[in-house]
Amino acid sequence: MNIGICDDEIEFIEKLNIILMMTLKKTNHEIFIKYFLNGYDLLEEINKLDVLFLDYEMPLLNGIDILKKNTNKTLIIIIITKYDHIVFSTFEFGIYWFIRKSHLKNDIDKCLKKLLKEFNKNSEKFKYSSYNKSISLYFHLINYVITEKNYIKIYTDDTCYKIRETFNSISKKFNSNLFLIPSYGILINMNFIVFIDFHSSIIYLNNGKEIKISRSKKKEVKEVYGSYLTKL
Amino acid sequence: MEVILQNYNILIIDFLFTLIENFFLIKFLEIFFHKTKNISLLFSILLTLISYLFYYTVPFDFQVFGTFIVPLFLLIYCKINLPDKFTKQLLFSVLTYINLFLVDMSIYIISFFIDINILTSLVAYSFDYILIITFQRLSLIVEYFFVKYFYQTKPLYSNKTSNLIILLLIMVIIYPEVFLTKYISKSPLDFFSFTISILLFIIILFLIMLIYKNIQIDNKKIIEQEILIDTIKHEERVLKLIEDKTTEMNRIIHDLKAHKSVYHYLEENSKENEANDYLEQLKNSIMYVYTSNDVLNFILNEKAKLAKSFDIDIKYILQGDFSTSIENIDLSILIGNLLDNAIEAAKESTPKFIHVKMTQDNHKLLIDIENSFNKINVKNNSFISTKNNNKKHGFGMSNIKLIVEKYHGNEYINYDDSIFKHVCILPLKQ
Repeated sequence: MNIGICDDEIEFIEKLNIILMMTLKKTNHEIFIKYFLNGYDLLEEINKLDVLFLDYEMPLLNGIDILKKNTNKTLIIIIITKYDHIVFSTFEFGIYWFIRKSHLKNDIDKCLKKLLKEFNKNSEKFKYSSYNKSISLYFHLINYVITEKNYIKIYTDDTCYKIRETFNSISKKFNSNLFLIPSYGILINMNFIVFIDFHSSIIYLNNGKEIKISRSKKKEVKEVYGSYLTKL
Repeated sequence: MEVILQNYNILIIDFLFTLIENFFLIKFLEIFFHKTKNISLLFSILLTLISYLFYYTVPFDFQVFGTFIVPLFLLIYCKINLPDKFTKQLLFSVLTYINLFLVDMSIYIISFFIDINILTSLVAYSFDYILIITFQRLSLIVEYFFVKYFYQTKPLYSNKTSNLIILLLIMVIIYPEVFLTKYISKSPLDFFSFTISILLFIIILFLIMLIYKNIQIDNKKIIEQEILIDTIKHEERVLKLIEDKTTEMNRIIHDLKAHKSVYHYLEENSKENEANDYLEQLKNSIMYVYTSNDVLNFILNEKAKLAKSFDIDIKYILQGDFSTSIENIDLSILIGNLLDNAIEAAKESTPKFIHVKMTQDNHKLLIDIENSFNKINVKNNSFISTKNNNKKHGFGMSNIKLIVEKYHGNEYINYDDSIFKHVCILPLKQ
């Protein structure tokens, strides 16, 4: 996993680096850590990162400015601040969590525990191959899957893969920790759900698409989404 | 009776059919329960045995009282499974019993058309009899699945509805007492008793519909009323907080002179960092989180202060524009109760922490609270805190539920040995 640290204090970067290395070397992930002393350098390479530790208070380009210019949708953002709270007047940034300089060790331990869980999940791939096609996709990058006649269409942010397969045969590969089935033939990645309106049985995705929940699946959707939201 | 005893096969068939009927009645009743004790089969066998015993031992003149066995049993079953008000238990058992009754009535009416003499076929155990009882059980089963599928709201009801229920109860008791024994037993069925049956059938159906409809309306009204009661209590609390705040402001103004001299002392002795820290501390002691919603600020800051007084590490992430959210009073009750619960649980644990994540976008308000906790008592699917005053805490939980229900939202709870997580999602009207 590619981790970026952006902070204007070099001492702090070093401190964070040591802690990260100490904790992450026990796991079997390949770790690359990059440092950025200012926002401009960061923005050039932001698309290559998986996780970003971002200082909220920096001269020139501060945390908010960087977040506004961020184009990497799947980036996990962790804010570094000296306060006990962060308040953003907009909701688009999707902050994963924040750590406080005053409680660095404690906060990072908790944060990394969560992060590693997320990453173990994110390292799983959906694999498919037929005589003329082979696909290998990270599950967390798949937005949703739709069945159309004899084909399965797999949508990611920018592409759509069409494979000849039945829904029953592929649906077992999709983990219910991340995917829910609103009606037969459809799988949705819950990370891309903005809101589920149970009153009118509609799921709103963050690309503007709306998907209907079938009556028989409503209870199941409620349960699966509930356990996704409350995962510890 | 001798005829029946001689024919054991029929007795067994009859017993089985009655058992099925009773089993589904009890299953029907269980739709209303939150939790069942898995004794429905045992109970239905018991009920069947008792009613058989009753009919074979009690003299014919008193057998009419047998009508009460089933509703009485349903009521007892309700009492065992549902620790609630008596009227509520009565309501559920009557509603369940009426299903059986309606099925019976419809058969009497049908018999008018297809020219079956019910009483004679009942005694003779003919093919007609098997047909009738099969139809009875089938319609009961269909009804059971129908209600199970559509029953969703919590039954809260007002006095008006309970009066309707009593009326229904009287009608149900009168029917077999008066009409069944006096008129319908005179076979064949004449036109007069047929009309009465149809009329009663329609009236009872109408009453049931009215009750179900009323329950839905009452449900909404009662939720609003309960929130209102809490709103008044909440306002009293806010008044007290304002008083406290004023005292605190007075104290700060009083202390300002002292702060000023400390700051000057630190600055003059060129301890700039310490001076800044001192100012930061001072700032934190006065105000803390700022959002675009004043009510939210107030409640978040008060609760943060309360949490810190118990040495709880509290963190907030707030994303979105909260200036137009759900109604302010509901927002403060909701967040206030959620945070109170979190603080109550966290202060008994080590390490103590509370993480609050609130996000509001165009569709929803999401409140995600994670706190450390030590011990939890799970009772009837609701959480009761470790503090002595159980009632108060339970009240907080039910308030959260009420407000979430008011906005047609959802709440989810999850926990392991040391972390408790409570998530509420409220849809926002656009």
